[in-house]
Amino acid sequence: MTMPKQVDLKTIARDLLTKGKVEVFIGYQAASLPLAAAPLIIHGAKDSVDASQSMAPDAERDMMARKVAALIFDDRCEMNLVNYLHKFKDRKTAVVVKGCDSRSVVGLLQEKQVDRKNLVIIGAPCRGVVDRRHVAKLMGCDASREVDREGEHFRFQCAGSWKRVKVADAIYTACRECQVHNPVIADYWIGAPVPQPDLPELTAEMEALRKASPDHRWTRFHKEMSKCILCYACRNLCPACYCKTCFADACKPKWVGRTDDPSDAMLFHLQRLMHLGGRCTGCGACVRGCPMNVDLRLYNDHLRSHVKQEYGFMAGMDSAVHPPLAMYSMGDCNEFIR
Amino acid sequence: MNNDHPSEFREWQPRILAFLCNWCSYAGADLAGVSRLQYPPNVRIIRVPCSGRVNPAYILKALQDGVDGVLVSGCHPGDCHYLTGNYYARRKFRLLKELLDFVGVEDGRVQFSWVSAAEGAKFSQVMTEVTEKVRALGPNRRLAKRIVKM
Repeated sequence: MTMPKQVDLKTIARDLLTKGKVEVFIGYQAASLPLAAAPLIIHGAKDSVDASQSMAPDAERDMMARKVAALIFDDRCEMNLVNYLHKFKDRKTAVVVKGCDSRSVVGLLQEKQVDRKNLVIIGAPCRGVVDRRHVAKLMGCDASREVDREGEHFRFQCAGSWKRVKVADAIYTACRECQVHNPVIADYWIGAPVPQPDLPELTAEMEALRKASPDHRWTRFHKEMSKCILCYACRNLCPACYCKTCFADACKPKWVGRTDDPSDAMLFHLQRLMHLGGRCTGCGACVRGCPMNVDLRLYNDHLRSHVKQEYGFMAGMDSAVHPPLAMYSMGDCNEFIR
Repeated sequence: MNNDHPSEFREWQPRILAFLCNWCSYAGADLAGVSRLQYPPNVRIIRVPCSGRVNPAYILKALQDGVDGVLVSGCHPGDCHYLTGNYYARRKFRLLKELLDFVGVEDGRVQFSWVSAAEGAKFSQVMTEVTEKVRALGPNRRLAKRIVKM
């Protein structure tokens, strides 16, 4: 892949929107919560759907300029913005994607959910996103709004002074285990490529769990699922979950009960895991959104590594490849069948 | 029928749900019956057009509803009435088995087989083995949902 052109974020946004090259620009802005970023969706002058009501052209231009000025990209930008692409399917859209998010774009392209012609992909090489809830606990302070990166450490401002935390301790687990720091697909890059560390195929936790007894694995699963309150944030945040009517919301037939029995949470997650089998890229949006800290990535990780081992497939890397469950081979494993 | 609490009059019997494909496995079961081949009566059969029609969610719901074991049986690879249904099914079931093993559902609760329409004896043998395996595992408590009866 030829290196995409490196540009400045605000410059490219302004350029794409004012020249009508895109109708919608999806990026990040600073949010009201400490160390958080929020999505920012900017509608361009040519966006026919965003009826500019009775705004004068000057006012419209000012608003767009103000929004472009609010665009950021730094270690706070945790959201997977690919989730929004479904809303703007038929319009020319630009979206800012980190390495993990770019794989979600490829996933959508593989499944023919978006048209590559309608997309302008602004790739952002990423070295990890701050886990703000974890940092607040570590530092005993949840007021820092600024984050500074200094070599292997982050500096957070807290109660007037700056405190240092090691990067590896402050970022999400998904980021620590990330194998794709640099976007796999992009039209422009808003930063220099970052080095990709060599990581083991399976984490130590995964290895341990695989070797443990079924009883131990059950205890772990039951413990995680007992935390789940079936809020469906994981499903709502997931870019691979785009069904207009989710199985969990269907009533004829009713696939998922809504009681507080852990069995209902288990059935929801087991069914969703089957739907994601071979499609999950491990972006971690589900875990970030979970209010109860259910470790969903553990189970997605297992199926991801299974699919890689059996079919040599990694989700979201090459838009020309078909997902493994949409295919079959004569040589597929037959040993588990009598 | 509440199978959870063995009454003083009977001991717990495993309840097995079998999804059999119409063209091969169901016909094989029928042949077993016609040939008067004995196998344990613990199975309830659901006829499906093809093993590829079996949504993994059916298997999971069955376990939630309290069945003790599930068998899915289809045509041998290459013999599917719909040509490729069982090939897709094979990958799906492999994934399901990986998932269930990893979350700790006991090995042997959910089983798969290829049984052709001529294999009455094989069907009877598979049913016997599945029933005995599930009997050894005991009642399904892990995924089953407790419904409180008022």
